[in-house]
Amino acid sequence: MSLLLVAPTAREARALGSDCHITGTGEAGQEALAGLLREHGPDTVLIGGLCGGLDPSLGAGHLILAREVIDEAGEIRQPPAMTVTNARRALRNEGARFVCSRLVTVASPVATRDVKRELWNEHGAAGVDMETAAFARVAAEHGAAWMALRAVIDPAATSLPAALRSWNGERSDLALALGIAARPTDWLAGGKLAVALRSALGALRAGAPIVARVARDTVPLGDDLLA
Amino acid sequence: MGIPLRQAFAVSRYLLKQKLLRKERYPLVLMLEPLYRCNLECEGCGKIQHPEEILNTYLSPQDCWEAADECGAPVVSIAGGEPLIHPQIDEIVEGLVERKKFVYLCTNAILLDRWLPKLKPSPYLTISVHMDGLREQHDKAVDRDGVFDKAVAGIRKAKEQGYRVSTNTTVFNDSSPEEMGALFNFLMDDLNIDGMMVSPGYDYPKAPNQSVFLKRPEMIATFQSILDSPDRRRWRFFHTPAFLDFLQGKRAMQCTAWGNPTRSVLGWQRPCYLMNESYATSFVELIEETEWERYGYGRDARCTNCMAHCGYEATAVGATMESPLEGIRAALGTLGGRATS
Repeated sequence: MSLLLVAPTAREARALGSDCHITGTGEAGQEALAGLLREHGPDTVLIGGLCGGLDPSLGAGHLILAREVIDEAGEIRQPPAMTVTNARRALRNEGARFVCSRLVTVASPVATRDVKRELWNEHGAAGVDMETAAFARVAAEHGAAWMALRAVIDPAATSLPAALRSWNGERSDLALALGIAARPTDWLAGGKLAVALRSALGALRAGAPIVARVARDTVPLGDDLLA
Repeated sequence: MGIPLRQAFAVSRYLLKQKLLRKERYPLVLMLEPLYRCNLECEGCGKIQHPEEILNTYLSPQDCWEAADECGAPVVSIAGGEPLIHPQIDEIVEGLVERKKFVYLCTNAILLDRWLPKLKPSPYLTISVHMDGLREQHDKAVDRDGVFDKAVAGIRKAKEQGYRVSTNTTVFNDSSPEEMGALFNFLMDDLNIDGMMVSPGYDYPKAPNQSVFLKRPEMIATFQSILDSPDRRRWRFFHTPAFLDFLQGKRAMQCTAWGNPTRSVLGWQRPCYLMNESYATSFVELIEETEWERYGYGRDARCTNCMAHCGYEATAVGATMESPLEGIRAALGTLGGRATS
């Protein structure tokens, strides 16, 4: 099965490997993904990247293999069940720190632990990101299946530094670092986030090839065979 | 007083030991089901829908003691089925008390009068009586008239004879906050019980009446209303303040399914007390070979509407141990006899 590996930002794409395409975020990201789908025509898209943690049992660097994604309108999309099951087993066999759970996609960063708790109570999603639901919809529109693997960078009990609360993927790493440096009250949270980033990217680097391999190797049951 | 000091110290010592041993998963309460047979058919129960040959099977006292030894949890909750139907329940309890396990003998109290002379009051034994409401509500929940009055009589007699007595209340969608408040006042003031446990009902697919279960947002709203009562300060709960916060939606928690492992006549039940996907032949097999990452809120659709204490109290206890502030709140609750929040 052919696979297209995508990530919203360059930093995430670097962790996912040299064959990962950078889409960008927001509507531009969706358009970029649509272009990649038209160009490559893959059977499956694997969406990789970082996310905020909502499940309070997850720490920085925990992986979330999506069993489904829900958007703010309540629309739910699911990846192929058999591929998810095989990926779950493969991650477990490799000793990865992961859960197989739901993701929720929102329009802007979820900055505080109170908002994270509300999202958790409402949706029961292990993680929150800003792309997966939209990317899954674009994949479906192009006849491709999707999978998602996210690594937690900010766990449920933590709030984001103020400089990151309006993050939209367009500001450079340097600009973000300077924003945090300019606010002494953000230094502790910024330092913790830097450590968590390293852990989360390491987890993605280890986990993404496992899921990619499974996605390539899993052949769905054909309708003609089931008839 | 809430949870006895002796129990609080023993559980704290046990938890500290597990931390020092760096154990990732360890049990807190053994859910022991020595039989599935029950003398009631409650509308929200999903435990008793087994074939006759299984309903006629009992765990022996030796099986029960071995399960307690194998598991090592400091607390044993004897559930079922109705444990007082078991012909050797007194022996089972005595053996567990000898092992210094804190035993919660869960019962509907219909047969309590017969067993009180054979059981012995002990700081390690608590009789936990099922009580879902005042007379009309409770008798409706258990689908039999007169059970409330029997339970009340049983509680009074047990208290007179020096037993520690608690109650276990399941909240359903027809449990109004006012009725729950009136029940808790009655249990505290009239019956002078030692403590109460409360939990939302789990939507067992096999339960006779599927319409009684609350959805998660409704559970949170109901518990906010119940625990917002001005009478709240008079109620003694055998729960951590963190668990009561969770029930009110004030705190995010994930289930700790391995915290309350279940041993029944069929083996060690996977993955938890409420779901029976398969059975392990030993406790070690249960802990080591269960895919725990598959289960919990968000991970399994069957967990969507579960906020039961058998999954989340262990999480709350863990959170209490890790936070000095939560530890102080829990200690105040134990020493003062009230759950603080």
